Amino acid sequence: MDLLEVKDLKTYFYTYEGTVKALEGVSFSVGNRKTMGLVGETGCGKSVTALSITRLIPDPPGKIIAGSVLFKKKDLLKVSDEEIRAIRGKDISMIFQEPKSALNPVYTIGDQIAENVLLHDEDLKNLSKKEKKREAWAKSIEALRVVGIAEPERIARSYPHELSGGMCQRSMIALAMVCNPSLLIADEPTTALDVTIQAQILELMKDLIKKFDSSVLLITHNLGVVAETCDDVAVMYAGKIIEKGNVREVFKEPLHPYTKGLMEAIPSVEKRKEALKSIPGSVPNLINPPSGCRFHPRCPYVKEICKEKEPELFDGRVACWLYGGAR
Amino acid sequence: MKLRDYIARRLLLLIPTIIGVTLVTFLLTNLMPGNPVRLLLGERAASPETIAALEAQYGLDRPLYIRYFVYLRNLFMGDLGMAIHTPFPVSTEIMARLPATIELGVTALVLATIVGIAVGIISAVRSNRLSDHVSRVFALTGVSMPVFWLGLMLLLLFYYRLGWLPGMGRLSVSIGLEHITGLHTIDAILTGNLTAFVDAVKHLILPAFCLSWLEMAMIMRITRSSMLEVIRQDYIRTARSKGLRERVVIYRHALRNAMIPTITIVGLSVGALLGGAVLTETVFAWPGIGSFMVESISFKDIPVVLGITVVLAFANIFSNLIVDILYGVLDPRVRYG
Ligand SMILES: Nc1ncnc2c1ncn2[C@@H]1O[C@H](COP(=O)(O)OP(=O)(O)OP(=O)(O)O)[C@@H](O)[C@H]1O
Ligand SMILES: [Mg+2]
Repeated sequence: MDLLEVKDLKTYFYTYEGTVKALEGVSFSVGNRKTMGLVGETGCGKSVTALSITRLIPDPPGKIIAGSVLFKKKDLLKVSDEEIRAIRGKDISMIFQEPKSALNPVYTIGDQIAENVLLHDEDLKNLSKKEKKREAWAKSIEALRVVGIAEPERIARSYPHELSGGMCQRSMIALAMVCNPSLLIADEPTTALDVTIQAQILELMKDLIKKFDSSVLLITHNLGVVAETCDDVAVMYAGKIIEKGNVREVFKEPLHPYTKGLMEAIPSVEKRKEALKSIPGSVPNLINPPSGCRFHPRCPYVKEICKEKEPELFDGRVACWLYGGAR
Repeated sequence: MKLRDYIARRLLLLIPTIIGVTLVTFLLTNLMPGNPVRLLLGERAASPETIAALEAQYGLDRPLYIRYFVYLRNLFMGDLGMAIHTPFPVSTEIMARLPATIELGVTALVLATIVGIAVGIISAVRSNRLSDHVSRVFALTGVSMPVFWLGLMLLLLFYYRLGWLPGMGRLSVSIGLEHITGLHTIDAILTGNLTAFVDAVKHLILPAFCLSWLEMAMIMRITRSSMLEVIRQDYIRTARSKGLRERVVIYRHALRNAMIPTITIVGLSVGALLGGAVLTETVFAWPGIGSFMVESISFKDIPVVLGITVVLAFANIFSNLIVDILYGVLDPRVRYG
C-alpha cells in the first residue's frame, strides 16, 4: 500500500460570489520513497490539494466535503484534531512558495526550527526544560548545516528579513526536515527564487529526499522540474486530475490534449526557431465550471460527448473521451 | 548602544517641543478676554493703584515677548512661577493634584489596553459571529460618543437612578486615609485599609470607564483589524503546518505581529487620555490637574495653564518614546536611527 492515498477529495469554498468547487474528486497516491509531481496551471487547485491533505484549508470559507486521505492507513480526514496536529510537522511537513513570508518576521530562524523540535521530538521527552531548549537549539543548528548553510550558528540567530530568499527557503527546508518526516509536501518551493538558486534548491531537495528516505509531493507548474525530480506525475486541470502516470511514460507519450499542450509550451533549444505554443483560452471559473469534460472549451479534439459527459480516468491514466468509452 | 543614543536624541528633542508648546499656549491664553488680576479681585471695586501693583507683582505690566522669555528662562531652571488665583507656586498646586490624575489616567489606560486587546483578539478570532458583532457595536458607540455626554449618562444611571456608585470625588468624606503616594488605591493597600480601598475603587469606576471607553474602542478596533490581517499571513499557515495548537498559533505567532500597530494606538492614547481627563475630571469633580486646568482657565491663571500644559507635553513625549522603544522590542526589523 502506498504511503499516501488521496481518494475522491472534494474541497469547496463558500464565497459571496458562489461556491468555488476547487477540488472536484481528486485521487492520486504517493508511493514509499517516491516523488510525485503535481502540475497544472495557476488556480487549478494544487495548493488546495496540498492544504486539504493536512486539513489546513481555512474554514470559513473552505470545507473538505468528501473523500479520504489515507496516510499510513489512517484517514486523516477522520482523525481527531489532536492526532492531525501530531502528524503535522512531524510525519508530514510542508514547504511553501514564498520563503520570506512563510517565516515569522519576529522570531529568529533558529527559534522557529527549534519550536518544531520541541513540539515533536521524542528524544527530548525526559529532559529538563533547560536541557530541552539546548538540545532543540543544537538540533536546529544541525538541520541548518544539513541543508548546506555554511554558518549555521549565525543564520540560526538571524531574523528572516536579514536573509536572502534562497537562504530563507533553505531554512524552511531545514524546518521541514528537522523531524525527519515521511512525507514532504513542497508547494512550488522554487517559483519565487532566481533561476540559479532554483537549481540549487532542487538539487538540495533531491539529496535530502535520498538521505532521509522521505516521500515527496512536489507541486509545480514547471514540467522541467517534474522531469528532473519526480518518479510519478499527476496533471491537474480545474480541480480534477486529468492524467497521471510514471514520469517517463507521460513525458514520452502524453495522452490528454491538455498535457500535450503543456509539453509543447515548454521552451527548449530545439524549439527555439518555432514560435512557442500556448494553450488557447484560459482556466475556467470554478464557480460555474463547463459541463462534461472541463477542458472541452479549449480542446482542439472536442467531440459531442465531451460537452455532455465527464470522462473518468481510463486505465488509471487519462481522463479523456479520446481514449475510452465510445471511441 | 544605538538605543541609548536614540533615547538621548529623542530627549534633546524635548527642548524645541517644550518651546513650541509653551509659545502656542502662551499666545492663546493671552488672547483670551479678561484680565486675571481683575478676575482675582472679583466684584470688589479695586483702585487702579491696587490693580497696577498686582499686575507688576505678576509681571503682567511687561510686554508679551518679554514675559514669554522670562517664563522660558524660569521654566528651564525648573520654576513654573506663582499661581494667580491661589497663593501657592504652580508646581506645588500641580504636584498636589497630579496623583489624582495619574491614578485615573493609569487605571483608564490599563483598562483600555487590556480590555481593548482582549476583545479585539476574540473579535478577530471569532469574526462575524455574535461576539464580534456585539463588540463592534460597542466599539462604534465608543468612538462616536462625546466623553462629557457619556460621563453625564453614566452619572445619571449609576449614581442618580441606581445609586450603585458614588458620583464625585475620589474618596467619601467619612473615610480617613494616610497620604503616602497620593494614589488612594495604592495608599489604601500600603496601609492595609480595606474600607478605604473599596471606597477608592468605587469612586474610580465611573470616571475611569468614561475616560477609557473611547481608547478601549480604538484599541479594540485596531487589534481586531491587525489580527485579521496577520491571521491571513503565510507564516501563520506555516505555524499551523507545524502542528501547533490554535491557541499557540494565535498567542505566540499572530499576537506579537498584530501588537505592532496596536502599540501605536496605545501610545497615542496617553495623549488622548490626558485630553479626555480634562472633561472627565470636570464631569466627575475629580480633583486632578484636568479639572484644575478648567478652573484656572476660568480665572485666566496663565502660569497654571502653562504649567499644566508643560506637564501634559512631557507626559505625551515620554509615552511616545516608550512606544518607540517597545517597537524595537516587538519587531526585530525596527532599527533606531
Ligand atoms: N481562501 C479561499 N477562498 C476562496 N477561494 C479560494 C481560496 N483558496 C483557494 N481558492 C480557490 O481555489 C482554486 C484553487 O486555488 P489554488 O490556490 O489551489 O490554485 P493553485 O493551483 O495552487 O494555483 P497557483 O499555481 O497560482 O498556486 C482557485 O480558483 C481559488 O480561487
Ligand atoms: Mg498554489
